[in-house]
Amino acid sequence: MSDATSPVPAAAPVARKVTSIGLGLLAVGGALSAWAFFDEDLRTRFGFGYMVGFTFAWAIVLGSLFFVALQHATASVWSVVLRRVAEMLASPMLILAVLYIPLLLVALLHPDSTIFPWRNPTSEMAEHAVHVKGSYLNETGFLVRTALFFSIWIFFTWFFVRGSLNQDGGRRADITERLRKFSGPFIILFAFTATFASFDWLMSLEPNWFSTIYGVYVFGGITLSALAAITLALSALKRSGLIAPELIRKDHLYSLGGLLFAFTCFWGYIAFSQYMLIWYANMPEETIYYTKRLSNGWAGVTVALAFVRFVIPFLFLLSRQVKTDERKLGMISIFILFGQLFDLYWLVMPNSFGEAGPGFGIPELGPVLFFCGVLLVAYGRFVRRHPVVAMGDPHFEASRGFRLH
Amino acid sequence: MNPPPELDTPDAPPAGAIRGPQAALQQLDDDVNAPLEAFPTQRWLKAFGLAKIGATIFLVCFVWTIARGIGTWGNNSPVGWGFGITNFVFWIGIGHAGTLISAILYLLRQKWRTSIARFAEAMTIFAVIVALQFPMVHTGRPWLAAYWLLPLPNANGIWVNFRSPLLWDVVAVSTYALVSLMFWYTGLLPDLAVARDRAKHRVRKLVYGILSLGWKGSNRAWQHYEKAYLLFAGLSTPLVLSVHSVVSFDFAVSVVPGWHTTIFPPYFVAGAIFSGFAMVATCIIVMRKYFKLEHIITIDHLDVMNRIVLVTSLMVGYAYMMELFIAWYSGVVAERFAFMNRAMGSYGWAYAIMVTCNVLLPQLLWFRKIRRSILLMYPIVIAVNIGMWFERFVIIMTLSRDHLPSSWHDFHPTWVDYGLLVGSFGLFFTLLLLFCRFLPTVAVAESKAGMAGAQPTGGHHG
Repeated sequence: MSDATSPVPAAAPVARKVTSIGLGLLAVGGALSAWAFFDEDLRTRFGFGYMVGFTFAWAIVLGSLFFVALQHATASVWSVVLRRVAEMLASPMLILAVLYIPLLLVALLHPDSTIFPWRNPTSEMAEHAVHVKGSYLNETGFLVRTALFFSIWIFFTWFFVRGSLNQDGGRRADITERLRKFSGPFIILFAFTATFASFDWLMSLEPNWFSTIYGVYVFGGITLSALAAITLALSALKRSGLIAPELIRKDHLYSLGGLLFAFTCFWGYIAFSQYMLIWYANMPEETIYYTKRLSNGWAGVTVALAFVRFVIPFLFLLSRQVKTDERKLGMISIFILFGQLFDLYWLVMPNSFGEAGPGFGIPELGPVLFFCGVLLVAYGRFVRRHPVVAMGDPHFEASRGFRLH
Repeated sequence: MNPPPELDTPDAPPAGAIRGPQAALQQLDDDVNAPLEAFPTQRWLKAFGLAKIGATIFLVCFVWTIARGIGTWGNNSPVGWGFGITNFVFWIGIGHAGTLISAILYLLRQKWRTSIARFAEAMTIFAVIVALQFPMVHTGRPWLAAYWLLPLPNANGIWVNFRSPLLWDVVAVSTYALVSLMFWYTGLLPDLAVARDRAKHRVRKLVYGILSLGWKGSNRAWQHYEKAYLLFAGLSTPLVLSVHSVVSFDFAVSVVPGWHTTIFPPYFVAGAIFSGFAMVATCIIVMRKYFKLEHIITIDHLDVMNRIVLVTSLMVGYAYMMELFIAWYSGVVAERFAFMNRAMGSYGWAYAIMVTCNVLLPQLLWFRKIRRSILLMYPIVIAVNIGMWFERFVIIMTLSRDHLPSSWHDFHPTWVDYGLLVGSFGLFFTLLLLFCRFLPTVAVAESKAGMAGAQPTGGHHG
């Protein structure tokens, strides 16, 4: 490869652009969030909105870390040229951990807040639930677990991203070997931490409801949003010239498209399994979840979710042509990320609006914009400081030449 | 996957350039077809004799059940489903590796699958055949079952319950059986043609000639073949998930504590692939040795299979843990009791076997040395077979402690139950041994496509 087609041209202009868009979103989102936070009437709603924004960013970041670990665990060659993009997406884990604090503040400043309803159960049913599972759902346990989850994720983000960056200097196969060795154990830790985080942060919003598949459901969303973010970032970086166009072939795009398709189906399968089994057995302790989401105007949101999250992306991604067309793949990725946001809205917001029916306003919009801004600023910083292609990986050349047939 | 060069290029390739691989390709034909063309060995005859004894036991118990009724089984109230459904789910699960290998791994471009695909697909079909015996015999009048089940007798005004997962089972399993059979047969065509072309005896030539449906290996035929293969792979992929999901619905749609849990569909699918791979390993390790195919089904293949066993073991372990945790977290008294009883009750020993064989022992496969040693991996895959049978047994035995303590009753299998269980293995191995004797056990054409010199360009495969 000659220097003329060096995969990493100057990064400054692109990074500046990403950072300024990010700062803009951050400022607007931050201002709206602050408004909602300081208005006592809106604070509880803001808490739920913040939960959606936070878990949206969390899904992209943690999912990307999982993607990186999976590539190491399977010793995948095809993904080496685009693995750095996932590493970039995973990098702001520490920032996310810090940004969890406002959520705790909402709960502290607003003792009546229903954001963690097990803290002050209002209904008789919730009271009973908290009584029987109090040894899990309590403040100390919650804080300790959250701290533990973030410690594990932050450590492994550092481990995988730093390891890959250290390879940039020279093709050190020993690093690949080490990353690979720890990828399996990390995936096991990931499965448990992601599951229990989803129980703590999302499922416990309705403390008397339970579902064994819930962790798998959230995992589907995490992976799907990470894949969509990777595809989108890859195509953006390629278009801005930071990744040489000849580096990412149709074969790579098709593989990403195939994975997006597979996980779209996976999400549909898991969501259907959960719904069908609860509908069929028709037991009140379980159906409360869906009756809440099928009454007071929520039925429309629930039906829309099935289309946004499954039917539309499924039909689009069925076509081979879409899976190899960068522009179309980018568009469907944006749509899938929107689907993730919509899904989180569906998971969280019925607890915020309750019988008032679905709503949307400043307390919901602010945090989402804020978190998009945070991620973009973090990615702008990454692009400025590090190459966006893992050229030092021993399998880099092989990955460049990856062909489907 | 491209067609092998010696069949689709009429012009002879430049001599010398391809001689090495050509010899290797020829060797592959010879090695795989050898068991078909020789007289059965003593070993095969002994194995077949043993399997036939098993199949006979199955037949005897089957007929006995029909003649005397289901009362000859240990089923009681509340354990209305005993060994019958356990064996059914067990065998359906075994069938999952084949389609996973031939469909999902094909779509994931796992080239290593070619050497084990045929054998695993054959196992799928035989396992489904064995599995189907259990619901058939449980009807008590299997000759009428065909009438009750298919075609659906709505025209006679006998409407079946479309809301029953047992009916979904009929649809799911029969679809699966048919698609798997067609997929397997399509893949067999080029290899049957090779067997035909090699045949010296007229009858032999005629039989393989009919079976290969006039396959000539023309360019056009290969194009159709490739397209059909891709379509079958695409159609079979959702089937791998749907069949065991529907089987799990048999339990999960009920309101029985310990059965009604939302993770059942993916958990059953993971368990099916887990047990399927363990069974493929169990059989293929013996087959490759006695048919001298160790250079085709290499230790690398077994290594990769062991990794899949490990991954699916972790998934199953995750599901066990989720079930326990959520049973506690739900706060539902009946749910908590069901799981306490499962782990500590009168079938606690079965639960211990299940966890040991399915979750603890497979963790040894983290070690490369164990994954690559036949002697060390073999006990593990055998343990998985045992553990997965017990998993279903543990689930069924939840019934023995139902809502009404006065009706609590343990399950005591009779000799007919044991006979059907042991005999089902006999039936399965009889079919498998016949397959090994008469059909090529390795997908030769597909394997050739992956060999050096078979592809026009030497691209990388990720």
